[in-house]
Amino acid sequence: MWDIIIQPMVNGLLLVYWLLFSNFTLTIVVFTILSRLVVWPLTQQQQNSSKKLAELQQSEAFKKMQEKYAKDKEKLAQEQMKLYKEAGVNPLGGCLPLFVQIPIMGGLYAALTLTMAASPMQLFYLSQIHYSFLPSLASLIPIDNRFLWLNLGLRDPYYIIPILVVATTWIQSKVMTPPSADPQAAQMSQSMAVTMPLMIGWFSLQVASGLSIYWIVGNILSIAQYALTPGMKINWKNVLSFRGPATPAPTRTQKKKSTRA
Amino acid sequence: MIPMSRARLGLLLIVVAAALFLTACVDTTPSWPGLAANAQLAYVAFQQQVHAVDLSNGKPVWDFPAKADGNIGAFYANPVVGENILIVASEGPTGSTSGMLFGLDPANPGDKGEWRWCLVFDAKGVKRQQGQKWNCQLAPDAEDAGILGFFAAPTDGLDNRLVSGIAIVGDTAYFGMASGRVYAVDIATGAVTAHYAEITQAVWATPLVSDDTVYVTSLDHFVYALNRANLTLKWKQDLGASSAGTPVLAEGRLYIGSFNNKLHALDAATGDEKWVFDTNNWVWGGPVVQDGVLYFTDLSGTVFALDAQTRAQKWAVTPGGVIRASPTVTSDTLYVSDGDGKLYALNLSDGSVRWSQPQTATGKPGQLLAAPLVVNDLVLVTPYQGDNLLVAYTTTGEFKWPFAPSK
Repeated sequence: MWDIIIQPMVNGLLLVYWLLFSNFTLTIVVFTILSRLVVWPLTQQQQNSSKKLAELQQSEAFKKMQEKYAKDKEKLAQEQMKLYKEAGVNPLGGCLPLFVQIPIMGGLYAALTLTMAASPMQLFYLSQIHYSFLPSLASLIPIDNRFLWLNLGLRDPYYIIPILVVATTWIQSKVMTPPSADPQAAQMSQSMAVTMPLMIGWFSLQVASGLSIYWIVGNILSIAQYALTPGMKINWKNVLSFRGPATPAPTRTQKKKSTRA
Repeated sequence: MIPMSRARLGLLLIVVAAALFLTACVDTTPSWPGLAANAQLAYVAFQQQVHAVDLSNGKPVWDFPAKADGNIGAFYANPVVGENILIVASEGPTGSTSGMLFGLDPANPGDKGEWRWCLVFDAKGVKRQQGQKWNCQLAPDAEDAGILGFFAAPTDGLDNRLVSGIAIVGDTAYFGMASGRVYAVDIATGAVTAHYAEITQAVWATPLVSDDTVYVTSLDHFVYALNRANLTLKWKQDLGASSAGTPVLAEGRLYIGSFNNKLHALDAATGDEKWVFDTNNWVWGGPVVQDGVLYFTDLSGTVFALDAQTRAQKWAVTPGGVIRASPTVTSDTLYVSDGDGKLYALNLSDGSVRWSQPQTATGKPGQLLAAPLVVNDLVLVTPYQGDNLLVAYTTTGEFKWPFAPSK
């Protein structure tokens, strides 16, 4: 079952590697771009959904509702749902396209690991799933997996690549998170902006550096895609901030609360 | 009701966690089990331990280390057993590719730190061992001479794992590494007596050692002949593709398989090509020779028998599935094992199947990717991802015993 996803990806990688004169780093970059193009409509949908949600959360109606039900969380949640429904916004709409991307992301990771053929078992498996109509696998082996100080099939011994993974994930999350008037949502965005880079960074410490390069390139491409989408505004000033994205001025109730505190 | 923002965060984290989990679906086991044996014990190297198994009954005798230890890492390379020494190789501390080599008492290796000697191939690896207060030597080319010990030693950042096997001749062990480096080590002390560092791609095959030459194949497409005394280069020859099998030497000729579907016959003294034989697929396992006949396999599952001098084909058969490993030859039988988990005994005269064993009597079969080993009238195989780690048959094809390590 898993082979159905991995086999075409592995062969695609080998083809790109052959076309790019056996430069595996460039292969990772090009293949990341190609895979991002495939999921472009899904990520676009995801970003549009996030944008709509952010706009709604900044609307007067939303703010008034927050003031009105500030003391009744249950009622606030019900009213929020009602408002989302009326505006035709699915608050989970941004996440659903991500689900579709799971096998693609997982498959790509698996394919990269296999294609680097850093061990006999990986090469044996590669020999079994290689399409015979593509350029001979024997002519491509050994895969040239050296890049600067890295062996792309192994972990970075000096931890520079995992640090870059954390940094680019952080930047991506900070510049792409739209401002929210909902303090709870802003708090969540903030905690996510910290949790995600650390989680991905930890993962990057465990896997081949070639996979981390895929992640770094993917982050840069996500930022570029976001910047190129009409109506999307990149918040560069958020990058150096450990707070959540800039929110509009607090409502009267929130002001009162903070004064009391 | 759960606030929607929290639900979104939860979902997103689940999505990322699921994507990361799916990546773990790829089998990252680097190799199949390694196997060696003497008259009493079989030694199987796989994952975190080397297991010694009594050949008479398949019962476990000892495990090394007694408990898996992340400071030692996983074992896959074929162990080698000498007169009074067992040499095993691990990948090095978990998460590293430092590579470690241990000289052990074959009858009773003791536990961690009780080895006769231990050799580590990069500075990071040896630091972990020093932390454990274990006495491990650092290979001389891994010694650090640079500023703050960063980016300094030649082996830093290399894949210093030993995934091939080790050849013992006289008082020296010879082996190649995934980094391409080739070493000669004194088997009594573990001291490196010579090394060759000019191969830039992996060596995945046990070297072949003759009176005065060490022959090494590499994924870099070349076969190297090195002076046995000091591991300096005699000659090297381009095979046109990677090679990961141990060559065989007979009557002044060196026979080597390669991934470009060829078997090469070279002049062992000069490396000049004598002839080439085309096969159906990669020749990964090394050939074997007996009575002037060369036997070898390819990944298509074909077994070939050729006249070693003239390359005239005597027979070719395809008994089952894909064959990665070398065949094993005895006086009258050729044993081959395939990726479907079957062991075949073929008649040397015509390649006809004398008997075959599908492993099914012993539980879930595993792929047979390593060469069978014949010892004490037993044929030993090491299933990969099956219920057992070692299965013994008699040379007449009867099931003898299975061995599975305790969990």
